[in-house]
Amino acid sequence: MIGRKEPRLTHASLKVLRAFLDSPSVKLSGADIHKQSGVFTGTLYPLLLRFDSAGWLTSEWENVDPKEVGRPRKRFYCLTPTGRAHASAALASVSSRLGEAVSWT
Amino acid sequence: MDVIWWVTAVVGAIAVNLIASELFAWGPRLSEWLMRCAVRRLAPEMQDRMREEWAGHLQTIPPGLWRIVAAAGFYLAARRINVALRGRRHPLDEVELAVFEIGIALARFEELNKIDRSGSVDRLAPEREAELNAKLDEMIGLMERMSAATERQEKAAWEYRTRCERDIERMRVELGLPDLEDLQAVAVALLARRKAGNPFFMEFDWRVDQCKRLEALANANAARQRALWKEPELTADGGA
Repeated sequence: MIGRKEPRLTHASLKVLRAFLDSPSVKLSGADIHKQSGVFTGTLYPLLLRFDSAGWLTSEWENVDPKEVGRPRKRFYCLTPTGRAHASAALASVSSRLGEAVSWT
Repeated sequence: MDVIWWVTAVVGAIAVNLIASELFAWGPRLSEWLMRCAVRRLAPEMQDRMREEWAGHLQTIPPGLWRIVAAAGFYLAARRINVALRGRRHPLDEVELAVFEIGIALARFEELNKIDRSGSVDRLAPEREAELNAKLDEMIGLMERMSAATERQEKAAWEYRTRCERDIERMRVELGLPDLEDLQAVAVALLARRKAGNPFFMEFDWRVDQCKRLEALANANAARQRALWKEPELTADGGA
């Protein structure tokens, strides 16, 4: 699996984390996160896998039979407590830096 | 002049409309095709998961340009996921790397030729000769790395093919099939079963046991394939 190291926090990864924090009790599929964060699919899925392997996210398949519902199953992602702590800290840090920058202008 | 402009505008508008209609009509197929290409590029252990996940994602987007854009994104994602997989390089990436290195080596060679045309090596200034030798060493190093990569690739491909042939024969014997065509029929049934319940293929269900055994053998084979490709990566300093 992908190497277990802390994910690098880029603009896109912060947008993805923000989408999770905005809906804390909801499990999100890749398509949901794409809609909420606006992050391009080419960036989104590698990010999700990185967060998953770093233990920031957990993921599970939708509990339906594809034959019955007539479509492929979705895979749902959810923040772990570790992921929530990291995400909150990272977004707070960005907000405070933005605040400082705004106060200097 | 105005007439020509108007005619061009009308023809252009019709052409754009036609292209847009074609794109809309072909959109679902094109996006499916792009997604399949992306999945094929992934490391074997990621393929099943991402195939289903990405198919589910595409289902949520209405047919049209955005579905194609999302599918194109999967292609890029596949490459990024492969890069992120530690110690793993897709065979195609290995080939791309070799091609890239050939390009660099040829460029260096061209550069060497240019330097050499300025006069014979004997008449070169010492620092120029040193530069020439350094470039030559660099080029030789690149060529050596390139041939080592190619050799590894060929060796791995040959080993894999040999194992596949052996496995196919073993599967045929284990399944008690008289010839290879029967094995192919079972493989087709297996693939059909994986296509999530297409009723046309359900008549193959009488071969379920055979399918399961074949699937187990195929999984074992895929595991060996993964182990085979787990090779040390080429590094910038020429080490493997």
